[in-house]
Amino acid sequence: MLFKLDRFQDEYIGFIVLRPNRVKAIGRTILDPEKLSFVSGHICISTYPVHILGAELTATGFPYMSQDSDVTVCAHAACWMIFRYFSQRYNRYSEKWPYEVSQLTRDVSTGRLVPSKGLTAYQVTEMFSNFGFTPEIYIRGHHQDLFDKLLYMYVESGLPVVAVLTGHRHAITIIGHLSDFNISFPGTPESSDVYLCGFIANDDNFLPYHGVRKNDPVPDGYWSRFKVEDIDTFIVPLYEKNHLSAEHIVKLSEAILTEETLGLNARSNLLQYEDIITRTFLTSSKSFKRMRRGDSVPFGIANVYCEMAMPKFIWVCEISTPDLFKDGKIAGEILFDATANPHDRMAFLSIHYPDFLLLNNRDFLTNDPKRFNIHAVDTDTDTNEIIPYHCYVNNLFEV
Amino acid sequence: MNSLKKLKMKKVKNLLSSKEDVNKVRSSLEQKTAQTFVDFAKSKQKVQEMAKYLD
Repeated sequence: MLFKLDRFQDEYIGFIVLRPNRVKAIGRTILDPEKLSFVSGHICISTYPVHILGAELTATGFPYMSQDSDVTVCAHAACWMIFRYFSQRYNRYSEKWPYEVSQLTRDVSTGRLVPSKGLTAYQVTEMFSNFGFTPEIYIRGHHQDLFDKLLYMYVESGLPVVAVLTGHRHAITIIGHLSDFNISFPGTPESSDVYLCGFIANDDNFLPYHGVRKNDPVPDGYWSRFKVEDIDTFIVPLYEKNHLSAEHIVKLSEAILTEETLGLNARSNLLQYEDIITRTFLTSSKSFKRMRRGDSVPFGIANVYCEMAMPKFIWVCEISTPDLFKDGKIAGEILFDATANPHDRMAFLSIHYPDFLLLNNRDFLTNDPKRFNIHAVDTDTDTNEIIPYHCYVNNLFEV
Repeated sequence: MNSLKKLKMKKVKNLLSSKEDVNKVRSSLEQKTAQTFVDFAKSKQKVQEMAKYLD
């Protein structure tokens, strides 16, 4: 029976490697958040094959390890977790061992790398670059009110980030979020981060899947002593062609939705800008088309999306209402070319409102009106109600 | 695109039908986002100018 461990796959929680260290012995760890009663929310996860006595099992979860304080400190552990996740999920990235992670920064201006005295946020950014990402660094003081929203947008995009808590001289990995869709808020228009209760983090000083709350008091469950406001910097691992960052999309989508000719109030008889909730995230066009293929997007728009020329990555701004959003439904979306120049205000690929569709041919570089292909619902013969359909689900796994 | 032929929506021909119309939309979007994009560029500069250990 010992050699047939694969029969326990359904009950298999995961694994923890114990290192032969005197200090902080927890090495690489994968635990399935679905099988841990104290974890809930939307989380980045991947699957990892495990071999025990010839039997193959699959561990599901987000990588975790504690710092060993010989070679690695908290920032190394936070980086390793992200690197291991990406190397498992995308064959573009190779796996790095903890010592190799420590060598990804060549900035020795403040002393030797091993044993490490700690890293700066800049060294983390350098390590991300040397791993193969093209990272962006965000500092709360520079983005003020937008900072938490941008962090949420990247996490909603399935991108784990290294969050820096300078006041605590600590770094953690944000891997998901917890939202309560019954939260009341002053009114619309709003974005979906209004439902945010907190982020889910791997903190190398605690067990994985730790909650970082947005507000006091501390809710029931497994929550960190840290709050979202303690995060003053985060570093996001972007793909090299993602030129359009979250902050540009926030402003550009708002500008389009309120524009005099293309805005929601100008083009839709079924939905007003004042009534909407938006959810904005980055995804690959391949995944977007795969999910939308054969989906319930009305009027045959799903097939249009599948046939559209799209870049490798797109930003999606979903348009919904509070009632629809609670049910995971939306009424339309705007798609953006994530590889566009940040100064290109015509970076949108399509605008879909409940009764309106505009396609923008990005091959046109001028103001030639042929770049647009515009369709609308025939209000004389077609429905006069919003036809909702499922929101996009792929970036995060709901626990 | 074949899927456009099967789209259950009617084609709109009198919207954004001239270069001037398209230019108006482009200018409007530029105007609505100009200041914030300048602010983002400045914040990027601040990052580069800024000089804490995480251990």
